[in-house]
Amino acid sequence: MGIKLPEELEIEVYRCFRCGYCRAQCPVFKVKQNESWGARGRMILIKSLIEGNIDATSAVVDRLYCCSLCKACETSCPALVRTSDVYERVRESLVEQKQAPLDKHRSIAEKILAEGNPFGLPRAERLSSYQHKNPSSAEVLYFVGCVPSYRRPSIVRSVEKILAAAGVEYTALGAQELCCGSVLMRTGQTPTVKKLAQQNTKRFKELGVKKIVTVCPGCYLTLKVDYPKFVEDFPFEVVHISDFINQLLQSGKLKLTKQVGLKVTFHDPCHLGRRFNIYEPPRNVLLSIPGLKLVEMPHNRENSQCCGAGGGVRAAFSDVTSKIGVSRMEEAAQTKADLLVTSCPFCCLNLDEAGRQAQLLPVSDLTEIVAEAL
Amino acid sequence: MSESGLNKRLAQIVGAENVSTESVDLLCYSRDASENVGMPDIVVWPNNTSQVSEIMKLANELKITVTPRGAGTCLSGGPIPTKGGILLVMTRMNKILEIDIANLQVLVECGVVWQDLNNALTPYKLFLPPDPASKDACTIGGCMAECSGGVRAVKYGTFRDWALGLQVVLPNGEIIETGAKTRKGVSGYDLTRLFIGSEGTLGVITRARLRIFPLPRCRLVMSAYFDSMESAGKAIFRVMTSDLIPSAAELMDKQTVEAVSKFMNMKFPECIALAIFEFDGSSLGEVKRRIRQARKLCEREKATRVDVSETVEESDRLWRARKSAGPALATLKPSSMHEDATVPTSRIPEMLTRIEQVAQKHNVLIPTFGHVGDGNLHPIILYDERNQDEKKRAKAATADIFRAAIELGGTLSGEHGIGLSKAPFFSMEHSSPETEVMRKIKNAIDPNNILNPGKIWAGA
Repeated sequence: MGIKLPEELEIEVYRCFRCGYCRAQCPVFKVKQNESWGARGRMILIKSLIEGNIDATSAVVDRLYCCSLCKACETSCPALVRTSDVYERVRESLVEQKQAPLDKHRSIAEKILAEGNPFGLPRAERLSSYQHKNPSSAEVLYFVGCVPSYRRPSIVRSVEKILAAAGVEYTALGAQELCCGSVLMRTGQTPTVKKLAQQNTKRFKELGVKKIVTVCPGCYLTLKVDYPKFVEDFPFEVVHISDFINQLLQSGKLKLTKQVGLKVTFHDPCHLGRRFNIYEPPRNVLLSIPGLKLVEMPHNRENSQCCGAGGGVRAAFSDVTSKIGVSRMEEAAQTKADLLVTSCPFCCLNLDEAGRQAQLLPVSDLTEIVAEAL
Repeated sequence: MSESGLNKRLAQIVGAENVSTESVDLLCYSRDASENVGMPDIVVWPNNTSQVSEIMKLANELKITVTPRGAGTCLSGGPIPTKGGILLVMTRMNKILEIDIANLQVLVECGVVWQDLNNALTPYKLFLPPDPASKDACTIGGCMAECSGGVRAVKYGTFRDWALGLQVVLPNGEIIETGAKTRKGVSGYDLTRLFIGSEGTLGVITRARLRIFPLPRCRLVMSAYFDSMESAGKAIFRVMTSDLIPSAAELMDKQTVEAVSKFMNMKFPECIALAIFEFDGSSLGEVKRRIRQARKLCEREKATRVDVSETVEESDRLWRARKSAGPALATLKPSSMHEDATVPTSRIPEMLTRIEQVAQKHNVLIPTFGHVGDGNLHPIILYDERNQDEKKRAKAATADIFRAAIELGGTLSGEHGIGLSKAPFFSMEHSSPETEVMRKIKNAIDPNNILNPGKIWAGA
């Protein structure tokens, strides 16, 4: 059975003239060195699906899901094809036809529906990392995210410390916070995201929130771009923490006084950089830390290389993620930096693991190093 | 031999992980950047020359066709398997073996990516001049097989002009080394040039020895606007026949300028034609002197405006505009055919007129831009492949463009190769005796016709 895309996306597929320039960018292709696992191959497969020339066999579905939606291919695409939009919609269409998602992704959805987080850990454990056990009304809501809550609590403590130091009055959803649904959105499981969007939005409204601060670029993307599609009224300003801290520093509300005598390199998260062009705010924050020296990797800003975790790849293709992660950490090590900093808890988790595996440099989230400088 | 038997024998040579018969892989390796399609039976990724040799011996013994492929950025169908068989993907042979600064040359494996080679040369202030648009992805092996060119070919020539020698695996598996390490060499037939541009039909190029060149210290770009194609053509002729030696001379027609302006959100002065010249050299003063003279020549031919980019950023901005021409035009229609019919430089104005007439006759959009300094135009035939009638008209227009190029003393292909796309038109350019010589060469080297059959001339 073929797939049907909306006309505006089908044209994107036909506009790909298979020049192959994306070979130089696609992190999955770089690891696999096989056309069918690269951006051009995916477009060939999608076109064949549209024209009904092939079936969505498991081999095809695997290729279409082994992409972190990092948008690196789009930076080299002379036809400016919106590949990541196409891939997301194709995945949604495959799910509608019950030919996807992959088992690992289905299981994540089940865990989110059962416990509100993708790890299936008890809902109540979210509480342990919060000061805000009982959500109260406030204009600013700190949307904590699942990775910091369950996998990297030091990020949560760091954010709390930063917000307190800047005197920001804020609230959080505590145990009532539900996964934003980013991983489900990227893997085509849209109806579940819609449910999560409705429930989270209801709570934002109950607390009288105006501004939502997220630490995870995945949450940022989902709340900012996807939620407004699923709920009729989403009147919130969504801000990423790197932007937020940068504003606090510029307005003088936050001051970083402690010396951090480290040489660091910065990894641009794909969902923040190529998706929203947020390149300078995290760098400005880093450069505000006394004593810190910033060195760039050859692949930085628009040319940043993905960590390999996003888009559901880490869950379903851990071997690919691991190779991409190690190659990124090797690039970081070549800068002779003491530490790699990123502003995404998921990149942080993944690169930290890759760094340990290859015995390379340690990894911090931006919030962790900022908290150290307080 | 059964498919699984062949699979096993190939796996013994290259390792099972370097062989695939998965239908998804076969499908993704059935295309390049042209409109052609051809499905291989098996995809193989060799890692060294002796493996390539073993594969060729096996294929020759079993009379199975082999199609070599680099990065698959080809615009003429060169790496498309027309008769199934083995698709030989050369990209894993990607080592730079030698950078010989004293003799200004490099030895590379065929799968080295153009940009990777030039990145390795930059610290030595050296470069490999021919610069195909696909340089971030294309491999040196592919560039040799197709005799690629690029924007700077007008000054520096194409890959043919930079090759000193090749290592080639013949269809029977024998390995030969052509050419010499020396700049000069007349020892026997020029086999290097025989294999360059042979589009993978005579042998598998596994290594290349190439000349390299000192990187110019500065480059400046000049753009000249004209209100007629005729005056643009005359100005280009004047610059090209002067002693100013531009390192690029490009032209964009009105349609292209308008599309780029919209696509890149850049403002251009109103014009019928925009000519872009680049000059490079060892000192800024000297390059500026040449650009001043080029400016005078353009003004003498009634350029309505001439701008000189004084900074690298300004130059880059103009080059980005020029390089976005193809994609900008691609936004006008979902499908496009990128042609590279080439005429003697003096016939450019006539060729542009002929292209306009062809567009009108077949009612298709054919904006044109290209390397006007060496007569290598890129008319882009735009259509929607889902509209069968329009597709047919686009194909007819393409044939008329080829005809025009030949009538004006030109050639079917400046730098993309004949491949499959232009094979039906080959006899338009070459007489039977000429083609017969080529056939005899092919037959002498590949008597079983196993290497990349069906390419270059119809019925091959």
